[in-house]
Amino acid sequence: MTNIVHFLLGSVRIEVNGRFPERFLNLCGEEKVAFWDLRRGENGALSVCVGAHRVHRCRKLARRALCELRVTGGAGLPSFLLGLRRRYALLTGLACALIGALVLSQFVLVVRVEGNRRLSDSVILTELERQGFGPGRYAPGVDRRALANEVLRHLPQLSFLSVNISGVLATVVVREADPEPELEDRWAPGDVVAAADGVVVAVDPVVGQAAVEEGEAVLSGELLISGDERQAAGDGSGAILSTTQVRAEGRVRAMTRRVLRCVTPLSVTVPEPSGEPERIYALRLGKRAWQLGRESRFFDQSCVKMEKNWKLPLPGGLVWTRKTLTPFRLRRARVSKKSAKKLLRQRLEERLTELMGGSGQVQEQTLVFSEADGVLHATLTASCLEDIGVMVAREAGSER
Amino acid sequence: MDKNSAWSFLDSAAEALELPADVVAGAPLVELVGKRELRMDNHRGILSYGSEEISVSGGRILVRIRGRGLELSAMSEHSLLIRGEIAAVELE
Repeated sequence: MTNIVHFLLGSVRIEVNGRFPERFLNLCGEEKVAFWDLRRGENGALSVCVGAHRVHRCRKLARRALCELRVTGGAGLPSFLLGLRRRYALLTGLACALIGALVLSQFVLVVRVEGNRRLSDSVILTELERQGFGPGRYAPGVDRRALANEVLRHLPQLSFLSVNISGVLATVVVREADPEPELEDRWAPGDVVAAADGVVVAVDPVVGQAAVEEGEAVLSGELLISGDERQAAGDGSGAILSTTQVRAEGRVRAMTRRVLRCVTPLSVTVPEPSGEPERIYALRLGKRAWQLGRESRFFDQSCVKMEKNWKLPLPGGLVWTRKTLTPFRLRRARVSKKSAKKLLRQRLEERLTELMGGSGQVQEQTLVFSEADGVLHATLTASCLEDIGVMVAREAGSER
Repeated sequence: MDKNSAWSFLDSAAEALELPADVVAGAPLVELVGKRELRMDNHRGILSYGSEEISVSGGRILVRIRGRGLELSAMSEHSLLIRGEIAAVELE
């Protein structure tokens, strides 16, 4: 640690010559002037190392000790830097690099987007560029508040945007707006209607009056539980005294028959490499790019190309990019019939489960496959026991 | 009372009261660590310096350190540290 401090502060080797050079050491001890690497010279002089900043003090002490002080050498960082003062080319290069770094640091070279989940980076970056902000923009000239307001005005999916510029890096922090929830009036009157064709097995109205009975066949959209509650007269005449509109609720279970169809081709197009991959190198600074080497031989060809990009950030905002182009040709390949059937079965069963909802039960099902014109057809016929009632709100003023 | 008499009195008093003489009378305290390091407190300055012999004033006594490759590693107003191959420590 001491060596590091001596190197950073710099040290000087001095030679003290006189009648009593030891007196100089004693004075150094009294005045708390640290010295090290003490040697006795052949001429009787003492040679010691002291901190570069204590030389002036040592001269005074040497005078008090009736000695002569001579600086014989220096070491450490200050001496090293002083040694460079005549290397003009190096100093010029250093100054240019410093100026370059200072000037370049005033420009935005990299823009990074954070905090987005649904909206992609490219959409936000495109909008920022449309507003004149992007790599190469002079950072102090950016009105960040106005920029954020403009972008938020054009991208309603965002609720917050902040542009933070730190050196050459601009970090755009965004918060996405929450989608507006669907508003449902839970007190609006409505009816329960059939969501599918079927034969009613059980009707269990909670609010409202049942409009169908067990064993009755209903079509999709037909009224199952009415939202009109009628108050009949108590004298047995059957006269309706009043009708109240309510929001019908209840459960209607029915046997339904579902027929679902799905198709899949038995041959697909697959890419196959048709040549050696080619690499194109380029140097990019902001929006500008300089391609190194010749043009790609694939640009003029009408073959399918697959691109793979690789980037290496370099100092000063430069980016070294490598693009790998691989030519492909397309060919038809046959799909295994077994896997095609498995895929269709899976899709149809998923669709059926989705249609029945969580409370549905499949009573019986048949799956039939047929092949025509290179396409595999699948038909699923299922008898299901499910809840078919769905609440439909009435429009204002309407009555069933 | 001259200086020597005063030191002598303080030495005697420290001895009688069983107090450390280096604290009471400012007597030099020489500490030898192995044969490569010597520490000395309450010194009065270096009288001569060389790689084979260093003489240090301790007030009434003179401490002479003999050896090879002797080097004054650190020094302050009251203490000093000598490193090297110490062969002998003489008092005069």
